[in-house]
Amino acid sequence: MNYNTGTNLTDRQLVDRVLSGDTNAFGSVVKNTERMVAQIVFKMIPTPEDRKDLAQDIYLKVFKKLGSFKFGSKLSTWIAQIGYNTCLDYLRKKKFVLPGNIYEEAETAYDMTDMISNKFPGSSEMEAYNFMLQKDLSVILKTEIEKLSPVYKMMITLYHNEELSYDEIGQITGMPPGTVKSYLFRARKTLKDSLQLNYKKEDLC
Amino acid sequence: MLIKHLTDEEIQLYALNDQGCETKIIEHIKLCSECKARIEEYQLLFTGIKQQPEPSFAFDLSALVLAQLPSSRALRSRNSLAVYLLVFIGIVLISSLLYVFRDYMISIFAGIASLVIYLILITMLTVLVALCFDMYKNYQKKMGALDFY
Repeated sequence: MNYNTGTNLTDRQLVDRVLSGDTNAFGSVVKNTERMVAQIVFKMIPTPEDRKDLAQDIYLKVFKKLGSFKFGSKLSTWIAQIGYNTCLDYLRKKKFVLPGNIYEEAETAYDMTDMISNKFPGSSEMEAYNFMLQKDLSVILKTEIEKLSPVYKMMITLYHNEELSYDEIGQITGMPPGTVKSYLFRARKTLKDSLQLNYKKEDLC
Repeated sequence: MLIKHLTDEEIQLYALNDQGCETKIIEHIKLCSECKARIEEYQLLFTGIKQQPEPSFAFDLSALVLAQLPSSRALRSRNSLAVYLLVFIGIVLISSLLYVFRDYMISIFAGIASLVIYLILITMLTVLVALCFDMYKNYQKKMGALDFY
């Protein structure tokens, strides 16, 4: 996905301008990458009041470290990496769910399918999905995505909405592409199982 | 053709990109209504995710960030100026001391063999370089910690 929609300058030209003292060029950097940073911050930070400070903090770090950017990746990927690390530090300080807990959640998700079939025998999974279509899938899906762990939410958004590759998500999170792929499989399965489980709950009421 | 139903990973891969799957998987899906239904569930899920509204900041982030930049640049230039000034003062001070005590210094080294002088100089320089390197590494480490926390 092209993030340099606001200007025709390349990453290198923008960085050179900022380093030579052109602060307006940094404004272009912010505008070009703000969308992806917003996706990361909104998905990882549950408290709306902290998002403003964190977003500013991310770009101030970017400005400070811009001289050390070696063009080994796209500028937007590098900025997203700083965004991800800043959000992760925030979550660690506030003791929210961290990547270490992700496996426990995934294991729970794998057991969920069995639980559904044991509790509600004879129901088809397609019925759940058709029901959801009638009940506005978008709203239900939004609620269910919000229930995922911050890292799962962020990975799903980067892959499906921002159309980043496993490699690019790996660069942002510092994980090998294979691990990213595995996390994404688990995240999607957790989401699907959670949707099916919720439909059954509603059906019983 | 596969007799067993597809794994969840295979179902997801097919739902993401049906062109890149193995022939045996494609053949199985053609004939298995259960796996086909599971693929449709995932495809529906992916469509739903893509249709989610994009989040955006309710404030002008660019303006907020730019308003904070000049001060940090000015601080950086002030810091650089202070470093250059300290280095200049140090060089001037050492040069002055060497000049004032030049006769005394010459008399100290006059009685020592040139080989010993070279050995002393090399040792001093090695220790100095090692100390400077260590100080620089510590400085970088502290700056890195300050930037991220």
